[in-house]
Amino acid sequence: MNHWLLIASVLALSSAFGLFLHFTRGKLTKKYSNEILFNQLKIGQDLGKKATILLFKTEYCSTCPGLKRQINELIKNDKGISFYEVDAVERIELAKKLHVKSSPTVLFFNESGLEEGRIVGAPKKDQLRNTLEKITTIKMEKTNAN
Amino acid sequence: MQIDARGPRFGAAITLVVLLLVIYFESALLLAIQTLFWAIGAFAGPHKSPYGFVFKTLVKPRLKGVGELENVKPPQFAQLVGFLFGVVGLIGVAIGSSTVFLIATAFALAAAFLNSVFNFCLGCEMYLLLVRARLIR
Repeated sequence: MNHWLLIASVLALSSAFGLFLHFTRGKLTKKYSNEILFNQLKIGQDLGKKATILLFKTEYCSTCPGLKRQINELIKNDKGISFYEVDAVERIELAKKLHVKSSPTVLFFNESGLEEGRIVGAPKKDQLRNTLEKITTIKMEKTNAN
Repeated sequence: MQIDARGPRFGAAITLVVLLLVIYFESALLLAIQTLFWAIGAFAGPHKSPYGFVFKTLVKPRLKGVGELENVKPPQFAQLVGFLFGVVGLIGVAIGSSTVFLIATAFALAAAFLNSVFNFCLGCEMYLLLVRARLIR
């Protein structure tokens, strides 16, 4: 086997995959379903008045602790946003129901308990802030329009 | 336990170079040594492996700033994944299959590359998928 060809192929494919991850992860993506309500998930916690953030983590997720700290820091002055974390392995059926396939995955629910969107992978701090502002602003804009 | 997050990435970079040499020279000996290092990292902790020792004594004192601390479990799991790839590669050597040897090493090379360049832990990401598929708990 041509070893240089194998090395080049592996590095090229890995680079492509790495760049794909770099440009797609950590960004807000659209919600998976219009039908799943937070209160149906049996997490045993209350909805936030403005929004609810649900972080799926695992024991082997290296970015999850930092992400948890970031989220807590961002919402510490806003009592209307609730934040909960779930171990995706301990609650594997919940992870499957919500189509969570990797950790961290952060789900954002609106004040009615419907998913507004999700972030797969660790977002940069400003992306997280922008997402929270977008999620909590959506209802305000609709109210003003009415 | 918390470790300096820069240490595992340093280890991944060294591993990347080693695996390139393993493939280029088709060196079973080098793979065996690397597999031993992975075993130490997987069962004793990445900070206890030779790369962790080099990072702590030679590299870290020369780095500016304080590195972020991370839980040892994710990089330790990544070492276990590498160890398993290494074992498969060595099985390939034992049965006389250079294809098995090279493909297993190539997968490990890809994982080390993603970890060192993109800070992406392939094994950590696969963990949840493997649990969902009921292949591990």
